[in-house]
Amino acid sequence: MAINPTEPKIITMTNSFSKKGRSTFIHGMLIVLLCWIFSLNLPGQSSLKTYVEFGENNVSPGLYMLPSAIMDLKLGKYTVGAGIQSELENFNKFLLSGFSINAERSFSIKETLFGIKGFYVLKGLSEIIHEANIGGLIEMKLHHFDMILGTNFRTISFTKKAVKEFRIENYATDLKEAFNMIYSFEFSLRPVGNPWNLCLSITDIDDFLFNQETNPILKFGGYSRVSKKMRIDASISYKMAGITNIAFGYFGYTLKTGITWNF
Amino acid sequence: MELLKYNRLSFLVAAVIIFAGCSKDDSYFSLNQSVDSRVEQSFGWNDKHPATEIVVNSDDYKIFCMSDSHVGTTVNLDKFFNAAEKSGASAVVMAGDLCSGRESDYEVLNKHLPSGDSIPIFKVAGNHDLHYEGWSQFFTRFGSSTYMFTVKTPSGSDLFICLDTSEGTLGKVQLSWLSNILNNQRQNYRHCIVVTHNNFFRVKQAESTNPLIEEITVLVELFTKNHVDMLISGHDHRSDDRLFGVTRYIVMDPLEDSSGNPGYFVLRAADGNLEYRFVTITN
Repeated sequence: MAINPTEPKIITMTNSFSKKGRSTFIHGMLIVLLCWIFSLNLPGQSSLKTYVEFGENNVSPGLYMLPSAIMDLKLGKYTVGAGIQSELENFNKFLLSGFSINAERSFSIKETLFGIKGFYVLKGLSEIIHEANIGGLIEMKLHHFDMILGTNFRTISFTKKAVKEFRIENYATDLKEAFNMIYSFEFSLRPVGNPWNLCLSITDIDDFLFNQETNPILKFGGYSRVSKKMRIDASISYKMAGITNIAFGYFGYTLKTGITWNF
Repeated sequence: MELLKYNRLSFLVAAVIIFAGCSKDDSYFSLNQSVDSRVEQSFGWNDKHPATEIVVNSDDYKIFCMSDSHVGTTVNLDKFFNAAEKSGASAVVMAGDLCSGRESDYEVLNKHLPSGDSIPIFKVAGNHDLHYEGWSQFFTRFGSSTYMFTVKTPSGSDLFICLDTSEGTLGKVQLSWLSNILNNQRQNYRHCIVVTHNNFFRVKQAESTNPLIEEITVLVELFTKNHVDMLISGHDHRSDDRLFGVTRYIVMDPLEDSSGNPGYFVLRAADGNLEYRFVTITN
């Protein structure tokens, strides 16, 4: 037997997002507000989606609540949007916990609609860690099916305060994951454009959440258009821990309900 | 109307296919117990078998670690134990995916383990160990997969925490136990090393089954606040070494005979410092 000891390699990483933290959240709020104000005077269509997510999982101390707002402004084939998510800590204190911006270009091939989208999402995961996701995806919209494929780059970082408090070396503050796969396969009972619908999907993403592809989310939901300008949405999601070579295990669930306003 | 009927049928078929994935049967992917009930079983075993304390007379000791032997065959496993015994290792840690989960493979594995008198062996379950209702085999032969052991040297004691990540999540019961140990006992020890089968961070593209980001966040925060020195894991079949925060996250090469890069990991505590090396096995 020959034994070859190897010298361990140390992966050094750069600290790219940890300095932005709190001010970025404030900027996010301002962008959403500005989008809304500008949308009142622009010729394009705009929409505001507000919803609340309740959930429970293996690592949450109990039921959690995440209110969110996402503003989209559509100008011809282009759509730009921004969103914020907050967290109701112990049901008595709101904390801003997420911010997103995105841009989309839609086009059609024959009768099939497509969209290409780029996004950036910053999310506070805990009081000492936050993550940034940047990526792109392509969406194909059929009458009853909606399919999304894309990729994201994740950077998990310690906050500046944590780096100082725990004396973290500057090469150990960030951790990067490149080319995570994004997917969503959704089947709708009624065709797109129907006043109501029921949808079943499997995905690894949500507005402010990016799982690895091996941790899928099963989602069942629906919507009802109560007027020309207002739509009510609701969904329930089941989160699984592990798939492929790991047996399916329960991780958590979420309930989501909200209203979409079209201006 | 016909089209609507067709769509409703498709919807039902899609629902059945997707949710069928959650069913529990006797197949390769079957789990006859949740992680919480396995952990409760481990705690029952721990009540009857108090945590092992290894006493070494020197401030320099070694722990040999391996994972992913996937027995079947045992050529590299035998080499590993020979090397551990020759070097005078104080203990051996086996970090999961020890076999395929079949009873016959558990029997082969058991035959190739040194006796507990010659060297203490600490085992945790991996995802493959649970296949084919393998947990009952693991538990009957080896006992708990959630426990701690300590190594006492003349100058201080080190804490080793072994966790069951074979289902891709620690579950509520095990996480609560881990938090309690780290928050209340960590300060009594010099070094703290956690052993899991699952690695936390992706090594390979599109194949890893790492814990969900929500769980990783909680664990990294817990490790950072309680100064966990090292996490030793396997699962991805490719060695990796990264420092994130104050914790070094180690992924070991597999010990499996058919692997193109078989290897193991040696941890050494010398004069109060932790040293380590990856060892590659070549024929």
